Amino acid sequence: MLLEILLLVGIVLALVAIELKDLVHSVLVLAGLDLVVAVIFFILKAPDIALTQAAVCAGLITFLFLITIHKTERFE
Amino acid sequence: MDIIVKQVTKIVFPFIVLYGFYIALHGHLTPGGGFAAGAIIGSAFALLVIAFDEMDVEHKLTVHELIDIKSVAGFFMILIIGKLGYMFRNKLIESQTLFHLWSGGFTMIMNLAGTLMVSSAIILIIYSLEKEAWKI
Repeated sequence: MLLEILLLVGIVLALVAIELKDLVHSVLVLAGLDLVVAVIFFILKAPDIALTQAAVCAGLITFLFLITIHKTERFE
Repeated sequence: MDIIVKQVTKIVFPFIVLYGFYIALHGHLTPGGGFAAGAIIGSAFALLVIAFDEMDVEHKLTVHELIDIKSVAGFFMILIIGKLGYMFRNKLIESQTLFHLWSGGFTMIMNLAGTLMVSSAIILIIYSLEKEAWKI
């Protein structure tokens, strides 16, 4: 039951991240999606993959996106 | 950044690095390992770079060449430890007890070498991107 709710939340977060016009907000929503995916990995009994997902996707990828947006334009 | 972000970063940063080393040292007992620990330590330095300005970070991070040498040293440590572990693994395993921290042969030292390599590579990427980015 929890797994289906988390999958639906992930789909909604992905659609919101596509539709937002401010790219910084979009990147933050994408970090939330990565955390939801990490919790899904933890429920599916792969805790090491969940740890790597939370560290790389929610930490480093967000940082790289922020630097890229800072070098280019912020609004779509 | 704000003063709130700066103060929270000052408090939280050593604990994140400590958690990374905990993941690296317990890599053969609990989930995790060299890559996850290196990514956690690298994201701690990413937090440091985001929170402080360029002039403050310049003192905390060391020069490029040192991080480069660390990365190459981790690679050669993995090669040498692999060879040593192939030769001496039986003697080392006989002197260890199962499910304690000091067990599993050369796996713990191997995880530390992997942590060194991954974290220094990520810190090098972050630092060079940050020097490029805020110079507009």
